[in-house]
Amino acid sequence: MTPEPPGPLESEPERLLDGLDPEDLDGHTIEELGDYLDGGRRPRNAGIEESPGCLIALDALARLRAESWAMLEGEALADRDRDQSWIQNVIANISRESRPGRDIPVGHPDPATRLNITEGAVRGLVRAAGDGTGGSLIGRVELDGDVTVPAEPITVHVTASAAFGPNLVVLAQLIREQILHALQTHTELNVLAVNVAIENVHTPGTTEGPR
Amino acid sequence: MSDDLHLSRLLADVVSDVPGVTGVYPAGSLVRSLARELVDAALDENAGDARIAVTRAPGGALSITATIGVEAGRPVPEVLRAVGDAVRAVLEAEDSSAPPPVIEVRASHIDTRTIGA
Amino acid sequence: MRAGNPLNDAPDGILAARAADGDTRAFEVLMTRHGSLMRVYAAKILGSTAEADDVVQDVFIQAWRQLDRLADPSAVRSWLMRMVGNRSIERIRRRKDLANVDDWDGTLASNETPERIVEIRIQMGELARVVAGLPDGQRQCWVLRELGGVSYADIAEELDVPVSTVRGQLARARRRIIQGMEAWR
Repeated sequence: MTPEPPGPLESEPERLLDGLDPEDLDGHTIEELGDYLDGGRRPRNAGIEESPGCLIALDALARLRAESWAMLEGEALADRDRDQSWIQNVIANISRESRPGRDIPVGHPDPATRLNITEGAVRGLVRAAGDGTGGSLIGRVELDGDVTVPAEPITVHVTASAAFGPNLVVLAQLIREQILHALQTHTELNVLAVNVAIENVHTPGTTEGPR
Repeated sequence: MSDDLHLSRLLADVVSDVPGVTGVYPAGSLVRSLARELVDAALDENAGDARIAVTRAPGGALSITATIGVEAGRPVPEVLRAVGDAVRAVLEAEDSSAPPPVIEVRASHIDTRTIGA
Repeated sequence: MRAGNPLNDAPDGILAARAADGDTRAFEVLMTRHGSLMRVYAAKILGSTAEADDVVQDVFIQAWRQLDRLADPSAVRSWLMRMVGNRSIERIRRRKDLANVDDWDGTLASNETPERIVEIRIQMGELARVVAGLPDGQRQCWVLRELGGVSYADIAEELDVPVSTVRGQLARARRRIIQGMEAWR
């Protein structure tokens, strides 16, 4: 691939750097090598992989990338010591009421009295019922089926993150029972099944790694 | 008509007193349904306090919508029925000759602090 | 956050799913966990920390409203970082409109006072110092690409320049940084 001719902004008189010009890179450009690195060095380009100049430059670029990310993470760590009151600013700005979802009917003998629980309220109920059971946390809650129709069979799907330790099959069953009990007490849904998928096992102090 | 505003406030008080109700929230359609009244009552500082939506069909039939929070100490369906009945009792006391009002009660939040392992 | 709160240890995916449903405590944990990284990333694009706080808060407010549309909740961190990149660039564009900057390529970390520049050089690591010293255009392209993982096409669209310009700026930034680091070594 021949490099594009330099545009007006690219022809600034810049001191040429040793080892990073096309003549040092067997005709390749730093741009090209950057793209090649971004692509995980696949598909393999023999011209680049067999050029010592290119390999040196690729190495430098890769080290630079790793160091760049480390730099950012290091700065982020230092930033944590700053005042975190901005978090409460955001909390104050966002509304507690999220999407209500569908209306889930509750019966009343008088047809002119229509009673409903919002899907959002029921999801909160399911979450509260499952949370804490054996140290787990409920993530996603989904009510599968037409909840707006009385007595319609509904399947509840939840994901949960469990604390490392307890037997996961037993835990899932415990969570299932808690959720079922809460739904039977507080709704008139016809719950066919409660599926509990334990997605993550966390240990205290685990945090996510870099992107 | 500020009668409807008065009714809305009265109903809000009655509903709040029903055991198991933690709060009465403004319904989404609240402002639209009372828009005319609110515009007229723009100078009334409490006009925005009409949390229970009171709308009147051309024929005079009332439609009431209440959005509430409930606590999980009592089964939610029971609380909902109690609220519906309380509202109907108020409306019948106010005007038993009117066409039967439609009452809609919606629980949008369940306070679950009494639940959990 | 109270010590021992299980939410603190929950994976991003669980927190994002809960927050999408209205759990503000889960959202708070996400903010605590990712807010600092987002802030330093914004500061690098903007060239100063002055508006970084505003950008991060705006992003979280927007994120709260859009969380339920996130297909993969576990990808919330890169999603947030992406929004920080977009918002920061928006700010720069607004700034440029107001300040009527002539040479996008030529302005050199113009938002900092001389005292502040010295402060940065003392406090930051060598790489950070070199990055901070890049001309605005090069720095922005480099930060968006290297730290934000944004595609050339998207960078070009955000900065409202041709893709070839982005490539050129990126190449020059990389050269300068490598040169700067080599010199130090």
